[in-house]
Amino acid sequence: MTMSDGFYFYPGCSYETAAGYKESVDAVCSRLDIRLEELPDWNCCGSTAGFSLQGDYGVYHPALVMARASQAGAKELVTGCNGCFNTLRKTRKLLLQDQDLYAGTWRKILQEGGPDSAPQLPVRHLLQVLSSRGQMHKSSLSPDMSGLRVAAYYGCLFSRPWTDVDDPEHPQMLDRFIEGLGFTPVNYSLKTACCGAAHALGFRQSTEALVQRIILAMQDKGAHLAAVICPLCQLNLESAQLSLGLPRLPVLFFTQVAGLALGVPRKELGLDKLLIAPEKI
Amino acid sequence: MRFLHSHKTLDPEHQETLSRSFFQGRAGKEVQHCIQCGTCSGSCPLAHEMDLGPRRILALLRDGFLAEVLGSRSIWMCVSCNACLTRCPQGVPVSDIMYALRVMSLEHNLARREFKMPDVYRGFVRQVEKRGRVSESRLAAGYGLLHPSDMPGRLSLALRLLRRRRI
Repeated sequence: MTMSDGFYFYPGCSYETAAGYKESVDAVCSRLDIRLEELPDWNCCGSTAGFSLQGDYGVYHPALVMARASQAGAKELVTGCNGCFNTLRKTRKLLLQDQDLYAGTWRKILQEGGPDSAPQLPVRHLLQVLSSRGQMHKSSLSPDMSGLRVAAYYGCLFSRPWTDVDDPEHPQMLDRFIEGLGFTPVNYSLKTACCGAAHALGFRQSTEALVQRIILAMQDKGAHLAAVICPLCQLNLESAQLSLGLPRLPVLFFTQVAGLALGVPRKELGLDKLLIAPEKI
Repeated sequence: MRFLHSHKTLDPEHQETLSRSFFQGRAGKEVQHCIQCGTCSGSCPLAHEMDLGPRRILALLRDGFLAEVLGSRSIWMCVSCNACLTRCPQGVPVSDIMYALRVMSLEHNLARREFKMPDVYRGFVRQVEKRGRVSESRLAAGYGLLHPSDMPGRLSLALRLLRRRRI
């Protein structure tokens, strides 16, 4: 098993079925010479469900993920899901501030036949990795595309409560990324407003009202499309629009947006999997 | 307490036991830093859907009304968006307190069926434990069997996702 740049990629459970996320990540990374090696034999991080049923002991599943990565020799984990990103980082924080929890979790992983390796390591978001590659290739953007106004949507857990990643209230990383691609980022105020997450299952009307505010704020500022960095944000922002009766705004993954700028053929970006087709591009 | 919905009222001794076990845990210790400024409720995207907002929950906890809080719908309406704890001037980890309350609420059988989220979380964790990973369509289907009245509007979305090979 080889690994480039000292990190393993942790896709998380929603990655494969997300609308063209995997397709566009593969296409963009291959063009930027970034090798994403998937963490072998990974398991679900447990997300908020784990903490809701087990409190601090919800750290077990995310700790197991990190123990596997440590054993495989990784220096850090990279994920493209805000939920995984937050769960893994939160777990690491809890373990590092509580020695008993740390030791107990390691012991339980061993008892269950898991790896005998540190159950914590630094975690980064895929947006951080791609942003650190500097400016993209503006030149391949056709003139009609450079006028596209793209609304960066960060969702909750990328910048909250992680003040070391970006400003928690006014993150900029995705806006600068969009700008670097040659598109026009849109300034609006709900970039980190909640999409409703898993509550969309049981409380659909409540979460659709949250999405309505977000989409309207984007459209008020003239957005042609939204760029997101999390599979659940994408699903909620897109699917709620089907019943809201608003003019529809396509919701793309940031890697699909990057692919367009890099001149990747549309069919390689999985755009046909979107529920709201991006007709303007 | 007139502002609370009709809850099973517990005898004072039971309240006392619940209260003691809550304040022994990490979440209980953190609650004591709250200054009741209301920044959490003002930041919460779903506060208007709650019978008790986050600020009120913290106040009730400190006054020992554990059973009322544990039996409330509010502790299950928290989306864990972290807006409250990011803004809290006292650094109270409100989301973690909600998690601790959920665990206690289930332990003492105080969560009602119409709170719905316990079933979502149980279905989720069951998949993680049985299969290692979670399939969203399985999760939605499992939830639908328990709460069929939430499903009719979801069928057309499922078909659309299926047609685009997203299920």
